[in-house]
Amino acid sequence: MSDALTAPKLDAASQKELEQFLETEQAQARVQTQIHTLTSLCWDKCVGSISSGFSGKEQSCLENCVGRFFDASDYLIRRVEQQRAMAGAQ
Amino acid sequence: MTSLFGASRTPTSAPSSPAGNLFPPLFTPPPLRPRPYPEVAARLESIKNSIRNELALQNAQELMSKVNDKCYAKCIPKPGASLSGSEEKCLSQCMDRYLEAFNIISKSYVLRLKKDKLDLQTPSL
Repeated sequence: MSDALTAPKLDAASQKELEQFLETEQAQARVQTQIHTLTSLCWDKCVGSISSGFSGKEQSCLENCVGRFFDASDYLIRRVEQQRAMAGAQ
Repeated sequence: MTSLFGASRTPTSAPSSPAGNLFPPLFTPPPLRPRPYPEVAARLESIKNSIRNELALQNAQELMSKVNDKCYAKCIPKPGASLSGSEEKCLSQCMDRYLEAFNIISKSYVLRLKKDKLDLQTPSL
């Protein structure tokens, strides 16, 4: 920032607000990154040849893609936890 | 850059957001408190704006880079001496499809986040 020396200093309340703003923006940026990753993944999985619109199959595949991704993740986590519990019981 | 992505999108993408904003806000900002020094408020606002712009630019760049990768793979299986008319047509359709897919994924992602949040608040177990 070239105007850093002449610009008015931020008071404590403004600094706090800026911190909160940064936190929210960073959280949103993480979400965006994940959406980019998922779009790439689902595109590879669902989309065939390019035409002027998605087919019904492509459309529903894309719509289900995110939900099943999270279901798969939840399922795998539950499974690992179960296995750990079983190993602990022995 | 934003006009590339924001202008011609389908009505499925964030109908209420201002033009050029591809993404519906996930978080509502806290209400602004009155500030004694207008120049401090203006500085704060300008810092926020440059951060917003920077993030929006990054996002658009990431999207363009993905579109380029995916559509090159789909539309130009055997690179010739120049782009053919049918390759160009495929590229432009592919870009539209990719943005459409991005909007579908965003929507279902946000829905899923909301659903998971609700499940946490009212556990069924």
